[in-house]
Amino acid sequence: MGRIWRIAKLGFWLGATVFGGVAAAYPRVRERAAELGDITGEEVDGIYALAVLLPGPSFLNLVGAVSGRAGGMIGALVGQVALLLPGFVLVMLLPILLRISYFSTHSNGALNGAIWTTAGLLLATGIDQVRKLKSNLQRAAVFLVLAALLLGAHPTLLLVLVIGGGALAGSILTQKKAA
Amino acid sequence: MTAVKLFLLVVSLTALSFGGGNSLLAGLERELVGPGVITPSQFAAGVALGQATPGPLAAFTTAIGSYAAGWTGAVAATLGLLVVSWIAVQLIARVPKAWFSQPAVRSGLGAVTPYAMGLVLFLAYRIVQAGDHTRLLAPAGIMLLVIVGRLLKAPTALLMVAGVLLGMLVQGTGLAGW
Repeated sequence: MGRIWRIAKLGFWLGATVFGGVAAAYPRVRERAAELGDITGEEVDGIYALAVLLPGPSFLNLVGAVSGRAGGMIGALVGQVALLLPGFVLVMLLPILLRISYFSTHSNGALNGAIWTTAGLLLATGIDQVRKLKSNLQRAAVFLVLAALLLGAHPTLLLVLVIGGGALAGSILTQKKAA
Repeated sequence: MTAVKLFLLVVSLTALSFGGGNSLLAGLERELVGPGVITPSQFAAGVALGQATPGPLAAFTTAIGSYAAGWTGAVAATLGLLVVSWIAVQLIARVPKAWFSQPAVRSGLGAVTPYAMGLVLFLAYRIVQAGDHTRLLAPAGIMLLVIVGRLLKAPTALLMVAGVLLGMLVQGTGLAGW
């Protein structure tokens, strides 16, 4: 029961505080997955890759998969419902709030403020995470990915290429070391 | 449209959407705006609500569901997302732990971290790009305040409330033209 409660708390916290979808959620999930039990950062990397490749919203897949590994089928369901709950309540309440005259006249401003804040939060997350990377090679990889996306690469295809390239490079290096 | 029809529509579109919730958008627009179930402005408002609320970006499905069939539509659309995703994640939940430690898998997955960071920065760029380009100073000021606040570990919810209030202030005081 304690584990299911922890899954619900983590799902709700992610659903209430993470703006910007799965890309912004991934570092937070990686930081806090260990609270749910024996889940390593390496495992979260793998779950993230699979979550993006499967059908459905990637953020929902990521949280469901991490919760599922910690708490089985019920854990996955609890984690996903808890994740969706804050957004559901806000989506239902915001239009009502916007009908109140003061908010109604300023609704565009409020929405723009939320959008600019979301962009700021994403930039801050990106800067913070790039700072925490261990090697310059990884930092260079971030900017290569960014450049590819700016040039119009499809995010899912790019992820497949990145994983495939990483696996190939890792295999070659392992064989060289063994030789 | 009935809530049951909406549920089945969201299930079928979600099951065929790869690469995140945004790939659902085109299908929802085709199936709901095209036949006139919701108006284009309701669709745009639903997408904006999805962006402005925390959690999965696919929260727009809830908003669009509420425009299409009231609160039962919102529940049905959200359940549609949940069902498909819950079934999909059962596959991931059963991947053996040892698989993640295989050298080739580990080096492949090691590349996921820089990919995710690049994607975060790209997403920020896209959000800025989608904004109103006639005003620059006010958005840049709010974004800078948020970045500094975030790096100083201020709570996300507090930053969002501050950003929304500043956005309203900017509009209310005529600074929006900056």
